[in-house]
Amino acid sequence: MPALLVGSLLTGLLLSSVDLHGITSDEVSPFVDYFLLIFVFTVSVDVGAGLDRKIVSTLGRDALLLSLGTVAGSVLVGLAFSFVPSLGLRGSMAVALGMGWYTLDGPLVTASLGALAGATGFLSNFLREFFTFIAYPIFRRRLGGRSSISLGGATTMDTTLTVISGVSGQEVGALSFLHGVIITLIVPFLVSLALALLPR
Amino acid sequence: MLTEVLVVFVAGIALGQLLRWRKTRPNLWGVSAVFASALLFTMGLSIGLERGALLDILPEAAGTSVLLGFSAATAGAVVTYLLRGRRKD
Repeated sequence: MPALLVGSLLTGLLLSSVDLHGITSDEVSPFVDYFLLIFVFTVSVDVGAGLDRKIVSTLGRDALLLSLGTVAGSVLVGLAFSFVPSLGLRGSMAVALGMGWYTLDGPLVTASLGALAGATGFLSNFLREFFTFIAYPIFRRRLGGRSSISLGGATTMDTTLTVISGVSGQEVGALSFLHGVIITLIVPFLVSLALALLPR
Repeated sequence: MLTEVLVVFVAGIALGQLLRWRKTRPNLWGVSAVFASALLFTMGLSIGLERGALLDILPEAAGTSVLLGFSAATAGAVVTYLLRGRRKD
């Protein structure tokens, strides 16, 4: 799946450098919005249908604490990167609070802050997923399997769940899934709040 | 656009819960993948057309992206570790 998504982005970027008979960014942008809305809808139906009360009541407290740590870490890094001129406080917080959901963060940041900030949003959140695949086994030895779930942000309910449950077992895998669901539920709100309320 | 995304997201969650209550388990993974690909293709096209050329953007975005992505992941894990009282379970 990540390879397909990155391939799609690169195809679009490469196609933009050939002659497209005068097609402009303004003519393409509405399609980004339409596809984003349909994509968000399909993901949210899947997430909503997967919310199980039994899992939530058993692992809920630990998952909430993990999610709090994940959000706090992203806020700290967002503040730390606010000095980057192409992002500013609004951009760095919106990118950091994407928490690995690159297919949502990239288009939202592009629509609000332009191409460079949007590309940063996509790339940094994509790299977070990539980093989790490599770093989870290493962090697990230092910080434990549960705390290290926070590395993956929203991806811990799908793509990086494979490596987390493979390395740490089914119970930590269930916690990882619930953490990913919680982060996925709050990312659209946090990124929107950052883009709407924070100064540039 | 931000409002539309939030409205669609909340509506999707509600529909998902309704389907679960009706004991229907939708599998929209494939549909999501198709629309995610279409989304990123048009996003790449839009970014590329706006900035003129691919080579202008990626080097500028790459350095910050690597540092920000890795820092956010690491900070999340470290803060969680501290919040959980340094438990290594």
